[in-house]
Amino acid sequence: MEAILARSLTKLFDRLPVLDGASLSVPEGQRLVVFGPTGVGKTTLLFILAGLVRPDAGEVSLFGTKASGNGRFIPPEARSIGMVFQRALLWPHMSALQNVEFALCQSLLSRLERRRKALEALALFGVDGLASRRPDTLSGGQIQRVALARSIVASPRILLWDEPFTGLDAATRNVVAACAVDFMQKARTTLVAVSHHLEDAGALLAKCVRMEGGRIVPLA
Amino acid sequence: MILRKLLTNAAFAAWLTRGLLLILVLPPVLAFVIAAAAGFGPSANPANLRIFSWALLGRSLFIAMIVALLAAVLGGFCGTVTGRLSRAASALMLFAFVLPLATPPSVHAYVWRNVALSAGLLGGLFVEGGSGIVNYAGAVFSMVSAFWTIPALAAFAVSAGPARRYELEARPFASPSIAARRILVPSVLPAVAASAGLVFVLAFGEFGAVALWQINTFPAHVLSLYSATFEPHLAAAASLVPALVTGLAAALVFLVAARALSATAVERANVEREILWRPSRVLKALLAVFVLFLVAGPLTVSVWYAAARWSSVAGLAGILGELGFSIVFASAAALTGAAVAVFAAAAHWTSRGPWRTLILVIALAAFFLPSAGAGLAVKSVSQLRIIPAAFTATPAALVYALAARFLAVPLLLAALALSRVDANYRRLVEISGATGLRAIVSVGVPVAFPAAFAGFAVAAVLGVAELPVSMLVSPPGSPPASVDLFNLMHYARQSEAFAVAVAMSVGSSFAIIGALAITRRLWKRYLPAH
Repeated sequence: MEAILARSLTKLFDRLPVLDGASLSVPEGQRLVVFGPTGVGKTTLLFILAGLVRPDAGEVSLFGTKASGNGRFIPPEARSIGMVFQRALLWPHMSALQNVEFALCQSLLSRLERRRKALEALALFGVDGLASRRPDTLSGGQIQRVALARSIVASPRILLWDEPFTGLDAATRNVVAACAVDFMQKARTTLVAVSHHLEDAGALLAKCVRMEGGRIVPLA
Repeated sequence: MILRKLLTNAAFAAWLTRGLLLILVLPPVLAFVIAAAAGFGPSANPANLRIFSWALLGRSLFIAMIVALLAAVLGGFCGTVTGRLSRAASALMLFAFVLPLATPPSVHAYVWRNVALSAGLLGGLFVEGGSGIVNYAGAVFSMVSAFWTIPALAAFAVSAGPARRYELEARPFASPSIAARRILVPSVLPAVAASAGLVFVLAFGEFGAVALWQINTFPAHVLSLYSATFEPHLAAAASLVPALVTGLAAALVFLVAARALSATAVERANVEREILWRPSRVLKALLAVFVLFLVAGPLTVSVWYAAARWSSVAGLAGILGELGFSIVFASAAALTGAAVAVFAAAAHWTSRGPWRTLILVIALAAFFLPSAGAGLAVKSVSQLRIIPAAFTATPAALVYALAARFLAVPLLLAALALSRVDANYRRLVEISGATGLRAIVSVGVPVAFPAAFAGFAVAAVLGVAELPVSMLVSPPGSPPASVDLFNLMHYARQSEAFAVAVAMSVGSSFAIIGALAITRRLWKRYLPAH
């Protein structure tokens, strides 16, 4: 089954086309990395898949249900997605643990259970020791790992990661990616990531495509 | 060769800028300290007048705290909601938020006291009427009416700016209402807390509004020692405690503001308004009610009184001309202060040293002194034999006094702006070999310039409305508009007083809005990363 099916997505910013008929199909449980130079529309594509931006034309279906397009729109929080933004932010008034726990705010789990799951997610990325720390005391790499933990803690069906390994050295990236892949394989989570580095795709054992002129093309 | 060495010498540059700042601020501060010391002398108080009173201090603190709390709640709510309105609606609301700030607090009190009189709450007596509760409530309400838009502007800046990015980060996990409650509101709170502290400082130092409501607070008591009993030394001594309270509160505000600012360095959230939280119709209606009551209300009352006797208002051309002169002098003073402040802040940023804090404290002292004390201090300095007589005979003394008094505004804003700049900028300057004045002029000043410009605008508006300094230092025969306004209010020439107040408020509001627009453009030009 196709987890993500995007057809002919078009998006204009200031009358300039950022996406120009982009189409994408990702089967359930598959991992896909989208490459491309800066300003080519990769982040806009992720935002449209997440429901944070509405396409001007085209449609998005998630697991066979139309999520955007033709007058239909499912809000981001109802799409079962976990997201890591480019230059991920942690909320400054919350600790690392509370940041991760927030992603479970819509679940019916007890407070204790939510805390346990958040700690597990932090541990998966090796930052459970920083649980009580405030974001302003964390390094860029530590913030990125907490943001990755936040994206997976609610066990979403789809992960959308924008430059997920920013601030991590190669060795840490490989360890973090291996843990993430293990998690995704067990949970059959679908991943669409955006990156500038081919090594990221290797670390995530993912298929690769390229964005060019607002469209998605196979990697040459 | 020598000139080149001087230009690139860091110590020379630092002391040159500090020297300029000290020339402006130190003489009046020293004159005030000498006056205060004389106030503690054994023969300084033959009439046994009261210098300090716990009751006065407690009353002043209590009123200021209530005003700050109410302004924070009201302004925080209105600013947060305004940050999520359409562009046109939020621009209109911004103008509405600026309008009360451009009106002197005593005018707010004058409006609401007239309203209370018309409502029969003062027993038909404008000056002596009203029970204790009515007067306390009136004083608090008048100051809330004057200052509530400071937290509103702060909340707006965060709600329409960095909070959008923080909220966007939450949207994949939470509905707009949850994101608003748990992300937007906590993001706005630090800015509201800092601005509530500023309201506390302003309300604690306010004397005109409370005096109109027949309430004696510490600043009103100090002013009466200056103006009613003519005891400047005792007044200076008495004002040390409120100056200390104000200084401590301002230091706390600075710390909270710096912390609030550190969380705002995030990129713009480029998403449709529909994705983020939007206020419901009920909240929008509530916002409209508050703005209508607290902004449109006083303005309407002022216009109504001014229009009631249009014939007397029509003869106000002379006073409006004086308003124009006041704007020119206040702008000249603000420009002087901002120019010194931007160099001083840039010098402190490019070369740190142990003198930094002391110089800042001296600069801030002039701002914390009682207004009349600062005015008298400048007057005593200008009467020194080394100062030419032309200094007091022309508006030069007024410009100097206003520049020294309000220098702290651009200085603090420039220092806050520079505290937000990545430390690597400064290291890059050092690595590039630019030192001394060259580093200050080429990097420090441009980076601090937008904030100093904003400070210039605020200081100019404060200068136009400043009363005691203007009253004491303005040259004979040409009183500034604030003095005219005070006289008109004092002699109950209501129509003229309200006409001047409306002209002052609307004119200053347009000046502030224009300055904000220019600051925004400057900031984009000089600090694209912020």
